[in-house]
Amino acid sequence: MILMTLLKPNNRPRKWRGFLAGIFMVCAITAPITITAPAQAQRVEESVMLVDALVAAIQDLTENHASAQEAYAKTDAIINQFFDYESIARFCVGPYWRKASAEQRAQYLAAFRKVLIAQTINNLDNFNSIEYRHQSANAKGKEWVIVNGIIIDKTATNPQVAVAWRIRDKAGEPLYIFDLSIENVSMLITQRDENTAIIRQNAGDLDALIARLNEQSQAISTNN
Amino acid sequence: MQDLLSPIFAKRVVPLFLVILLVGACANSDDGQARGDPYETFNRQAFGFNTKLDDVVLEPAARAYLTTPALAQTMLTNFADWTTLPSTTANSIFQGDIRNAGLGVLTFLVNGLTLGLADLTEPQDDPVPTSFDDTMQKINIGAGNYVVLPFLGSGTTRSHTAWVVDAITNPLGFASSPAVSAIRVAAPPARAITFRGNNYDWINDVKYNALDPYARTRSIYFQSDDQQDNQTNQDEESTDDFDDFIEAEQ
Repeated sequence: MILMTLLKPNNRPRKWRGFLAGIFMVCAITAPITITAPAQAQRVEESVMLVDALVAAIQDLTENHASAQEAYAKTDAIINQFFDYESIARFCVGPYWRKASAEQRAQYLAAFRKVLIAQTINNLDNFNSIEYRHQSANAKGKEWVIVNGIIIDKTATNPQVAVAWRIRDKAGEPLYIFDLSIENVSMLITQRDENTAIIRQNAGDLDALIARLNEQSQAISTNN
Repeated sequence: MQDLLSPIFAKRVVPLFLVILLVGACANSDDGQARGDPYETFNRQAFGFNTKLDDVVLEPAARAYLTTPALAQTMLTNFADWTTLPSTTANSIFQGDIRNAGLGVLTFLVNGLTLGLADLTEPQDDPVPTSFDDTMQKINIGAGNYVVLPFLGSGTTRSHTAWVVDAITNPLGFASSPAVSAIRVAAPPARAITFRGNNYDWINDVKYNALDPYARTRSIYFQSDDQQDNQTNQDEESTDDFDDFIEAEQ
């Protein structure tokens, strides 16, 4: 009854209006937090599942590929499913992406993808002797989730290695894997430093990197 | 005063002070600048020399090391680690970490019963390895520029200077017995071969599969070094290349 009285506009005392306005403001401020926190926790959980799914996909690729062509097709599908390939490729040439022509960009994207696939297939045998174990996960910085784990050598020859997967968590978009750090060394930063060094050594010419990438994918394929 | 004129003082301590003054001047000159590679031309030449040295000496030696039984590999690695303990002890004292210095002495003496070939102490009692590079970092001497030296490999002006200082101040260097001299001579190759052997696949991956082995090595060095600095200076927020990438995207 008291509540009804308070809610009737004509009877609502002025001091209660201030109180309710205060309550509203508190709710307005805290609501995004209370809504965002479980949503963020869910994205972190989904990131862990994404990494587990990638590990399972690689495991499947390692165990079930009849031919080199099949391995190539499966690796290509894994890249499409788990990674935003174009963003990763863009990151790996730093500022030179903006300076590149549309044709150079297309050639670079194709050449870099070939190297990634060739390197993955080249290392498939190594995946048989290792096991990934998840350890923890947390949101970090702008739009990132870090999933931490360890790689264990099943043969017990090598010590365990700490790894961290960096997942891009952009609002309204699916999660995708962006980077892998091994013992705090980022694979993507290393690749970017290497790529940009080659471009710089060739007076800023992206074509030089494209040529090197094509040479490398060819060399890896020939060795296999 | 007599002590100050002794040959040991003249041979070891005076060069040490000169080296500290030199590295202090070099390291402070680039404080606050982004990490670059101003000596890249020289560095690439030194890297090329080291790669050739690796081809003919280290890689074959490491391959031979890896063909020995696991026990022999462990013993050689233990010996290599053991020879660094005097330096760890001396630098722990410089850094005021008396506990680590005590553990260094204890581990050196206990494992010294087997000439360092066996690790008789518990892992939790092992001292944290430290060098004069860490000592200089603790007193805020900047890392300086990236430098690759023949034989020594990747480092900074500070870390290479530290290597010289550690060699000069290593307590093993003050003993004159033939046995200690033999240990002193055997230590550097043992460390080089065990390091190369224990990281055989990683190093070969860089050497044979990298688009630019020099650039990849430098990147890995910088990232590892930054990580150590971040661990030492935990209050400082590290810059994030990935956040920069998102910002540039928007």
